[in-house]
Amino acid sequence: MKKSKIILLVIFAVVALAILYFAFGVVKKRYFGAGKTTTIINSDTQNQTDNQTGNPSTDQSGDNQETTTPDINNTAPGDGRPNVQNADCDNDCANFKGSPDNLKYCQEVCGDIPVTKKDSESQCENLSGLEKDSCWRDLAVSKLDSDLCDKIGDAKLKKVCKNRVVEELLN
Amino acid sequence: MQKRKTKNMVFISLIIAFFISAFGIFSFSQNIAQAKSSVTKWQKKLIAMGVDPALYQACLPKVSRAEYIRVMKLAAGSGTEKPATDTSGSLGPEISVGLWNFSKSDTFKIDANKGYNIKNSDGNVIAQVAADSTTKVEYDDDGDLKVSGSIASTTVSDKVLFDATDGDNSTLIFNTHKPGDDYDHFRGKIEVNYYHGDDIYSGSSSSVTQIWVINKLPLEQYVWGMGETTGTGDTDHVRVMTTIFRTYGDWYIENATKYKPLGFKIRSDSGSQIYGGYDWEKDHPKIKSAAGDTRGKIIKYKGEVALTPYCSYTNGKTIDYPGHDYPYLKSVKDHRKGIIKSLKPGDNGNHMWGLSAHGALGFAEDGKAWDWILKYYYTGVKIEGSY
Repeated sequence: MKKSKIILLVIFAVVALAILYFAFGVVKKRYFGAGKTTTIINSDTQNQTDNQTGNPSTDQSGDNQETTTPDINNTAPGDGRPNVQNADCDNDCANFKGSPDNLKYCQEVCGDIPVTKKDSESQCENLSGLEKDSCWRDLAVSKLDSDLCDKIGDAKLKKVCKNRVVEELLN
Repeated sequence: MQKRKTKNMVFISLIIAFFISAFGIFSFSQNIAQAKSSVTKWQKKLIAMGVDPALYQACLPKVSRAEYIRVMKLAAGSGTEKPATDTSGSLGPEISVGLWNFSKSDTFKIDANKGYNIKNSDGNVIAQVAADSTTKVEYDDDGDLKVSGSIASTTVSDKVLFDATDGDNSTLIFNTHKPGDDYDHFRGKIEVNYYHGDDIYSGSSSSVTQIWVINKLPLEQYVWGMGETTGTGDTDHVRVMTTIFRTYGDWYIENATKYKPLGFKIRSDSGSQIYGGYDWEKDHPKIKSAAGDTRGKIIKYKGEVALTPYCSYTNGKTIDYPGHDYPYLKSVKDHRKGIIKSLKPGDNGNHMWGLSAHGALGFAEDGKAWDWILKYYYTGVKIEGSY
């Protein structure tokens, strides 16, 4: 076989492989990737920047990591408690004025009731219900310890507590 | 000889034909894949150009090339294709920013660049005032405020709101006459709120009386007044800063409760993040331009707005945020430009969580894109267009 033919064959093989490589990437991404409906800009730029720089952060998808703290709209309320939304906080819990318990709960979720300084766990342990949850929140904020928020039974108040500690820490 | 030449020609032609076919198959697969995607590249182009979504609503969920061309013609005809810093279209959710407070013995003065309403705490208009007419607000008694100057002295309850008579708050600029401060013009609405209780702002348990001046405006316009930088550095760095500023603000809108009793979500100083308002926006146009480049972009983790703390420097690495609630705040090596070896976490406000602003500047100067930098410092996040 002539030398020129061998060179041509090698070029042919390399180009064919390159095309297959890129086509495979596109097909895999489009057909077998997770469906995305939002205007995510990183799906395009991420591969590009990874190829250029070997981005150490991009090989970690958010899907296999611990849970993060959602906003209160997406957190289920505790048993028998109303589902307080951000809109309720904007209108001073007006929808709950008919029930003192629900109003108090809404005000706690929205932060209308300021945090009271607490020193020790013993101040909270003998309380019950909303009073107890609020006490743990106050203690967590006073001690800047978000682990204390985990003692709160109500999921929504727990998130509010954690976010409140963050606010203090970043202040 | 002739036969061999012909053979060679046929061989080369076959190779060229193969390349063309391979390219065709490749393009075809891309088009098929594009058609399968719910957000086509044509729709992404429309979004990037800021075309009014109403113009292509009927084409969704898949905007084709032909539809893209048709929509662009429509947009050009109607003049709806807008620059990134235009005030039309969605400017995001409203954020309330605590500007400053004054005491019971002080008088607050305000006027605007166009006619404005004075509203009571129920949101009812008590007067409509001409642009250059100055209104005064003072403490009256029993937690009530008194409004005077542009109108006859009127006692209202614990809150007064000022907004645009014509309903367009995005172009309303208030002069708040802050004593001893030239940065006292603010876009959007202004609220004056009486507060009596624990000193939440300073963090002490002593009881205080404060009358708060609060700026309420859309998140995007809040970003235009970002006082954390002058915007004169590398463009990608300014884009980084505007995106975290916007995201940080959005996190506060969604999650903050600390300053609720004072009437706002976020402070305007380094206690939260520095906001300079309209004067800053006017004096530092590159910030507004970078905000336009990243308009509506929010850093998210698992679909929720991420907490994006940032500081000026680190001592070599950012540090892990304690606990498991913010897994994207992981320790990463900082760029040499953001490193001060002798620094300890907390020194001069450098908590070292999240992003190092000087490190980010270093990466930007090295040619890294703004989104790369954000994903470097905030592990595993996505950057999404939220409005």
